[in-house]
Amino acid sequence: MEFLKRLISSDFLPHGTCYLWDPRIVWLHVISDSLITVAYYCIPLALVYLVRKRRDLPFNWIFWMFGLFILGCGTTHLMEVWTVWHGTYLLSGVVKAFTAAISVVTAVMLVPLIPKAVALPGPGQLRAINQELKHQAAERAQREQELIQLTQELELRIQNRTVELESINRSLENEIAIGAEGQRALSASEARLSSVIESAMDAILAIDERQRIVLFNVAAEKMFECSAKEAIGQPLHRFIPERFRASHARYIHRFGNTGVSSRNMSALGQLWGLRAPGTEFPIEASISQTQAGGRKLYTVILRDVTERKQAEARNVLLATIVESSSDAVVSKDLSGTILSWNAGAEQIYGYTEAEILGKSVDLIVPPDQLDESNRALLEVARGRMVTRDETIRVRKDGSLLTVSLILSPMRNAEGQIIGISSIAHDITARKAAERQVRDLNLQLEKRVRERTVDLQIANKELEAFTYSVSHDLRAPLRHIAGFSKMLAEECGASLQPEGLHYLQRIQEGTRRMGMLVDDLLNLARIGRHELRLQVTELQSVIKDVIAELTPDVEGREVEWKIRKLPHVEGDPALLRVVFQNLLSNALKYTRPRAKAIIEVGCEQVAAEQVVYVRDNGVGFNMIYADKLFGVFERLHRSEDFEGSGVGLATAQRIVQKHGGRIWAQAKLDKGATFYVSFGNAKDAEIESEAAMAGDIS
Amino acid sequence: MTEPNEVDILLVEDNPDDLELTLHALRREHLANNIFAVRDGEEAVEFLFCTGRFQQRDFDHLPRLVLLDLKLPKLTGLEVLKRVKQDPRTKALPVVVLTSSKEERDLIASYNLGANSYIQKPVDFDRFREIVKSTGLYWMVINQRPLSNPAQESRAASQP
Repeated sequence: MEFLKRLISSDFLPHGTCYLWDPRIVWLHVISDSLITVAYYCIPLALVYLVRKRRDLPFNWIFWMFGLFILGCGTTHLMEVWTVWHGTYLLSGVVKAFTAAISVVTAVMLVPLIPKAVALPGPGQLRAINQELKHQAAERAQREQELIQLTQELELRIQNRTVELESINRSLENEIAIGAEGQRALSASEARLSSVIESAMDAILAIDERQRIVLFNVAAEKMFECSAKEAIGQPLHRFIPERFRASHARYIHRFGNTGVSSRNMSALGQLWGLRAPGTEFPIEASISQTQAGGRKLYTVILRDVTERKQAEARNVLLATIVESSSDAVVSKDLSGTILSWNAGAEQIYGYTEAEILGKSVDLIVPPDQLDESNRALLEVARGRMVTRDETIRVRKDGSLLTVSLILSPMRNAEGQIIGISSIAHDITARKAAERQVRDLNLQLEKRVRERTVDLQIANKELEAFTYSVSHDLRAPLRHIAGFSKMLAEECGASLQPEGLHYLQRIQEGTRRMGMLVDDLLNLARIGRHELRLQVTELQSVIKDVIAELTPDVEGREVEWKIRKLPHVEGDPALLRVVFQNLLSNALKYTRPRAKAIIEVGCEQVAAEQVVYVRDNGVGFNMIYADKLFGVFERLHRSEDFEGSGVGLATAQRIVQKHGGRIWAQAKLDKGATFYVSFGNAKDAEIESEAAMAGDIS
Repeated sequence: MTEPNEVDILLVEDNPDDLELTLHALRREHLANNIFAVRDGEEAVEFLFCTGRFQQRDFDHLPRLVLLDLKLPKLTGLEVLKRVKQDPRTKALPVVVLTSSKEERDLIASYNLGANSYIQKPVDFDRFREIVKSTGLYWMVINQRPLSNPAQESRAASQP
């Protein structure tokens, strides 16, 4: 920047000052320099024009250099004009230095150029050369003419030959093309045919006139479970069950003679194939014949219809089931038009199939059920299954019936609902039976209620009776006993011996009467006693009872044989009463024996556990066995064996209350055995109470 | 008849035969000098609570033992028992049920109402006398009773 500033600064005096501003000198310099400048600027322009026009000029770069150096000189002179008025000598110096540099470079480059410039030919030389050249050119032209002629000749011959070759080629190509295409077409058709045969679902076999297999496709391999390699060359009958072979062979032979090109083989009836492993299967077949190379060829197309046959059989079965069903199986379309109507429907509704097909299902719906029926059909049409346990329908004769109904949608292969199937089961009879049972039950319940009331009344009476016996009957007895005793004590001295004896008999009587009343009350109490069931160990019950009987054993020889006894479900207090009675009886009736043997054990009789009490006592005659358990029934005189005749009755009542049985086996003088079996206590209680009430009333 | 204010044993019994036999048994054993008999439930209540026919009786002289039959005219034995045991003045009075009945419901009802003992009269007279003797012996001799009337004590205690 500093340099640039200085470059254009004009601190110096202008050059004009050196001319003392003498106008003549100033203008002399100015005009001269200006003209030089103009001239110098024109020369490079001319040079540039020359160089551009004469591209063939040798060393033309030197003209560029001259141009540049003359331009520099022109500028130097221009600066001379400028410095007259402006002292920018640095700038004019620089321009001058630039011009100098270019001049020097141009001069230096020009020096080595001089010898080359000298070597450039002059115009005379050029004329001679030209002459020579012209001559040579003429010669050359002549030779060229000759060459052209020759070439033309050659070309003509080549052309001729080419045409010849092309025609040969064309005909060859033609031939080749024709052959290849035929080949291609032939192999393509063969491939197509083969792929058709191999991809066919049906088995395709070809046989020659001797009925030997010449073609066996993939489907045939699968169907007969035999590879084509094995099959080809084999007789066809290898794949036909033996019993059909003769008729098949005859059929094919006859077919060959008819000249008909193809025919379905169903004339033979159901056809059967034979797989290589020996299993038979149903097939459908068609046969066709062709002539190939003068020989007859039969083509057999087979289809395995096993699945179809099974499906058909299934359909037949299903149809049979539907037809033989006693339920009404009916199908209808979505608008309710009946499409099918089985025998069951005929039976139930009374319409024949012919009568009702195509009619509306509303025919069998009572008017008041139509809404409900339509709702159900709509629901099924939406894909839901509808069941009705009980619904009313109407028969042809107008009578109503009750049916249970299942409605389900029928769909086609695409899953669209196309109709409704219904199965109706006539439950009219069942309903009637149910009603009857209900009525009977009601009657029974009523009777049970009545009976219960009777029983309750009887029980109340019984209670009142026992209560009054307990109170009122015993009281006079006590009085008789009391006063007779007092009489004996206080007036005994004044009485005759007979009088004392009678008093004794009165007292004895009252004592016995008291015992009877107590026993009877016990018996009644047991009848009213509510069972408190629990698992009871009989062994310990027996042990306790024997301990209680100790006073009665005193002074006697008694052998107790207690076997293993079971646990039973019963009321322990009542069970104790049973065995008290049985064991005290055993003890009582063995009294005449020197040694009493009393055995208690358990036997399994059928499904029952039976507990027995056996003694070697006086026994009894079995003809009285039925009296044994009656109240107040006695088989012995009371002088021989005391007792009220209530003990066994009580024991029986208790056992019956437990749902069990009690019975005895005995022989006069040969001992007795009492058996007790325990049943289901809960069931028996009611019966027993009923029996009690019956006894009293 | 014993003076109502000096009664040792009150016998409640409607049946004259029973009454005679019981009195006979009691006297024979010399267990009590002063035995008073009433013939129905109503009379028993009047006697014990000093009302009606026994208005003049002094409440502070309660008998030492009541022998009570259950089957009584007018008020039953159980009703009499109930009144005695519900009233704080008579609550502590020993009541022994002496009856023909051995019915479970009578036994349960008696004990629930607070009977001190329950005895069934046996048919055998010897056994009856035995029972009367031991009962009298027990309640009149063996059993300890408070010297003053427990009811008065409780009344005194409850007054501020």
